[in-house]
Amino acid sequence: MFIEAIQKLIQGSGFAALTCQSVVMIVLSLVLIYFAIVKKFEPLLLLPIAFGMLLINLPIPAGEIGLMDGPANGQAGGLLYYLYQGVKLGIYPSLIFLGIGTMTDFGPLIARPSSLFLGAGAQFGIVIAFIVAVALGFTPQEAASIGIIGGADGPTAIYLTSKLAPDLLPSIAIAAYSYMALIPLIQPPIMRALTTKKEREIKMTQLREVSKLEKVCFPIMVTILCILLLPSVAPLIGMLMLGNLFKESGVTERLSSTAQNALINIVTIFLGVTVGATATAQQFLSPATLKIIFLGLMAFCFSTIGGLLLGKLMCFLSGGKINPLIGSAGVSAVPMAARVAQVEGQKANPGNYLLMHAMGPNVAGVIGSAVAAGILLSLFR
Amino acid sequence: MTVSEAALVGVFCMSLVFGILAVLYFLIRIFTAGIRKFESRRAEKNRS
Repeated sequence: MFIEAIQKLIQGSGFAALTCQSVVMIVLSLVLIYFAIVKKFEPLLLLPIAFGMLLINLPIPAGEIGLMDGPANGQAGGLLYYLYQGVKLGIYPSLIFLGIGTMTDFGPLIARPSSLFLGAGAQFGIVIAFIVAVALGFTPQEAASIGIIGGADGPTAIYLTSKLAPDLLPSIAIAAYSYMALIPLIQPPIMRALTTKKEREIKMTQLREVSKLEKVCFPIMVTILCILLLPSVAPLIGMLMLGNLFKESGVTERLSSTAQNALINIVTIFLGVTVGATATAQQFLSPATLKIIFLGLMAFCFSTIGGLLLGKLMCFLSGGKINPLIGSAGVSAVPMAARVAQVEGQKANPGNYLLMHAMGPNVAGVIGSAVAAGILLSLFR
Repeated sequence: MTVSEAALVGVFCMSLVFGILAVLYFLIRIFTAGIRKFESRRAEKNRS
């Protein structure tokens, strides 16, 4: 009787449903939790992603509603199923862009609009990764989603992948955020390899002051132009520029404060946990994940190369007035990529202050990657 | 999709990204020049 009761208890618990694959995924999620907490690799997103992964891979006995299960037989679905609709419908990435907009200063870009070309050049990795992904047997939709990792923009990568290749969402999100955290390790060797010491030493002249009127007009102008040219980019660019207008108008302080604090934090929690919860063993433990990790790294490297080469070209055309290092900041990842350019510039010349100059290409990269995502979405949806 | 088709799509995408950002570049130049002119005129008027 007692043994039967114990057996029944064990069969009714998750232990009975544990498989080798789910154990591997649980261990992997614990490793990611370690990286987030101890190594501080993008902890704001990696921690909820890793915890979502842990939650979804803890097996649930037959008959119970799983966290990601939809409604069935008159029973409501799991909690994460409902939260995941925000990812599926592209709501969370757009809301994160709203928050990013309120935190972004487009002043350096307005002062030197040629930074836009650096932001465009740094999307080079998207194209290279796309081509290689097609060569490796991915469908065009999957290849486009993998390529966008090169844009170094987490919300954009999640937005595009949720529309084109939702099955690859966990691998792409984790690869994108991991590489963004590794930018200080990935970029400097490429920067040093592609530039001479003389180029890295270039001191740039101070940027002009940008008036409030220019800053207020900028988001309106970008919204009108980008959405007229590329309607598919409306959710991302529209929200980014709305957030920026909140900030620059100076009349919506409460909205700006909410968007850049409470709202972005809440959405980050929902986004992270639900993206992590899509990482089931069947989807994640596949050769495709390894390929995505490799292609993501390649996309990041080539985006850095593209930005640097454009930077070198602009340095040449400007008669040596532009430090090519700022080109590497064209890979969105605000403001980490700009900080890396600053650090490398200062290593070559301690009196070099490139941060503000690099912020121009950095925010141009955000626009550039959103535009690239819009183009890919229009082509492959 | 073949690799050569993917390469074509890639070139097309990059051209579009550059094209859209180039249009944005010229618009910013024109708008900011206009705004700065407007602001300097207004400042002049206020001074006089």
